[in-house]
Amino acid sequence: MSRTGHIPKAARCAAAIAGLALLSAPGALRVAFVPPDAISMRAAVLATTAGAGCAALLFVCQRATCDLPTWCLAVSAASLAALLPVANESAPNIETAYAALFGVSLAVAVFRFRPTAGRASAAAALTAGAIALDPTSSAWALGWAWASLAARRVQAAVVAAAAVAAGLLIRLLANGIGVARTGPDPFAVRDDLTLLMPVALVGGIGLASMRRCHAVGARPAWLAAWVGASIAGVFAALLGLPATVPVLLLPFWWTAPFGLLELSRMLFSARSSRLSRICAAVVLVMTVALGAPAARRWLEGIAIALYSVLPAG
Amino acid sequence: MRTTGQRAYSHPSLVELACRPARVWLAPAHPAVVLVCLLAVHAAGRAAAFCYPAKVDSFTYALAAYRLWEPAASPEALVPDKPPGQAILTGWVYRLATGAPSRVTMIPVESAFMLAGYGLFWLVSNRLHDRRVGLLLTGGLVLAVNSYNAFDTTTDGFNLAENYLLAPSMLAVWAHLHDSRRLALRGVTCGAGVGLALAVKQTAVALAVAIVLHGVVEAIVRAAPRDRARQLAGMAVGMAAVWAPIWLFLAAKGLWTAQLDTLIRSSGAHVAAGPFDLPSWSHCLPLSPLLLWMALGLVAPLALRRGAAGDARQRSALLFAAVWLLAEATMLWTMTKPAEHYWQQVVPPTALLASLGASAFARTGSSLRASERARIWRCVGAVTACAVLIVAVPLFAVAQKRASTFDLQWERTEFARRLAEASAADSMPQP
Repeated sequence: MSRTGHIPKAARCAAAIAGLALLSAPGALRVAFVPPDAISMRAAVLATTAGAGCAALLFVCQRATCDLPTWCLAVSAASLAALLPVANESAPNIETAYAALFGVSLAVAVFRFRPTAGRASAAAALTAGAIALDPTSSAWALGWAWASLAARRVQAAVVAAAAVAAGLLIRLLANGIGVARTGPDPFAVRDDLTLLMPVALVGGIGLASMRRCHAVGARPAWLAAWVGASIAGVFAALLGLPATVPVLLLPFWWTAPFGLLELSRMLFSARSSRLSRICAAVVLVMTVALGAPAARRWLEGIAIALYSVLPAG
Repeated sequence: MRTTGQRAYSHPSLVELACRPARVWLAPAHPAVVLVCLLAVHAAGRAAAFCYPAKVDSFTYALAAYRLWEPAASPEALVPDKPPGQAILTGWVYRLATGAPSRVTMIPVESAFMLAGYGLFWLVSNRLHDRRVGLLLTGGLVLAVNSYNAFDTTTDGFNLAENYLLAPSMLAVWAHLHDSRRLALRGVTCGAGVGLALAVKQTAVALAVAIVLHGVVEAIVRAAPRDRARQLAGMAVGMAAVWAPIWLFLAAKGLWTAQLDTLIRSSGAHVAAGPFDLPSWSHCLPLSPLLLWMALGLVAPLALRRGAAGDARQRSALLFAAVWLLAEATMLWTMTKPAEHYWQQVVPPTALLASLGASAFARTGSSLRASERARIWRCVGAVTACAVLIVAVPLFAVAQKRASTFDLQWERTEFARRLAEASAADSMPQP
């Protein structure tokens, strides 16, 4: 801290990332130790990195480009950091799924900061890598292509499509053509959707209210297209395609700050009607109630941490 | 913000009330779209239930139905702890069908019963509020019923008594809540529904209790005991009219005494008052779209200081649905087996309450200005869409996964094998 009491930006960033990593850690510990997910410490480290990294990117990116209140971004980022490592049952391979999640977040951040040709190429390369790790990441690239086509930017759409093709080709080459396809486990999909339902609810409200948000620099077309492609990806599970639920629900965390803002306006705005307030209160109560399974899992991680730290007996 | 003028809406339609942005959210609510989605959910639910790997109850009830309709049926053909209604209602199909018997023969019969149940629920909901809301809430009912059925881990959800219970239950509710002045006819229809439901499964007693209790309360409140007595008498006639052919059928085969004896002894086998536990989230999840609308309907009238109570018909239906839900929840609590398909009984009263909730919500919102209504509809529409999606996707996923295991030849062989086993067990001397 300087003499004037101002905390340097680097220190604030480090503290924020440490905080996000602490939020991710319980879920990651659960991945490492609790059966049937007990995978490895490497998976736990990846889970923590993905949770904290994706949350930090969401916060920084949204803060740089949208005029959203800090608390909305902080709540979304914190929930992303805490919940991402918790919901992992639907992933065919946890380690590659977490790496893909981080790759997609990085691609979105690179693309969104400045969608120039160079940035778009970098985003496309990251996207291709993420798709190679987990094909569910195609949802982001397909949304990008969709939004570009809708805006008549054919070149950008071709770049996005090329990213999908390259990612899938790398995966095919890595796995060998004709590799046995394993469909998603419906019970795992259901469990992950149950855990992430509060995010989907608030993100859904955000998506619906985004057009009315006059935040500076907010260009929600690509975000809406990403959500649309993700929803289509969720339905792809019906065709037996693998569906990693946290990857598919990632755009809902990006729309969640808009949802939180809308709910707060409905609750506290002086121009809000009583019905509007009641409605927002019901949705908030429902969101909190539906968050109980995820909270319970996260607390299990805390219990594991305490158990491993405290002396025996 | 509210406008000063009070608008005269007796039964406002949700779509009429919604302004332009909200209509975008309600666009998927076009009847044809909802109907197609509803049939798709039903088909997915049936596929998931039929192809569940552990085929236990579906074979038991299909074999019972087949054997009961054989000319020389023995008392062993009946399922000991279940009334004979389901077997009598469904077994005839084996006498008409050509080819080797199997569970596949039962698919159209079960679907016909379930579709009739959905249709009757839509009629009830339509009568209480609005055609489109009725269809949407029917969609919620179909989703919840099929979700509980498909994700049951104790047995396969195909050909269960609960699937046949929906249609007679909704027939009874439709007749009970009908506002016709032909009370005796209403009573007879209601009694036929209740009687049929009780003949399928004993748990329908919760519905019977709810109807009688509601009738008594209505008689006291409306001070019309003679009307209600006439209705109750009609109900008794209706029940007798349904039970008489069942009795004749069993008596003709000499099975009545045996069935009555086993039913009396084993009816309470799976029922006991246990400690109260809150239901798990996975149990409540299929109900989430309906619970949202139920909650909104419950709290929405708080937004207006007056005039949100609805008409007498809706108030009466609200009271009935609340009593019915309480009775079904109590019945569910007393069930000793942790089977998900028992939750199917809670779905119709919840859907009815959700329907009334949507009605109250629309009525309350009718006096708001357009932009405020749009904001509310956006919020509620998004939450409903998310809740529906999260319930529907696993159902379709499980259906897709299990449907690939279907094998018609195996079905026929397995049915024949189990039939031979059951017949051999019957012919063995009893200790």
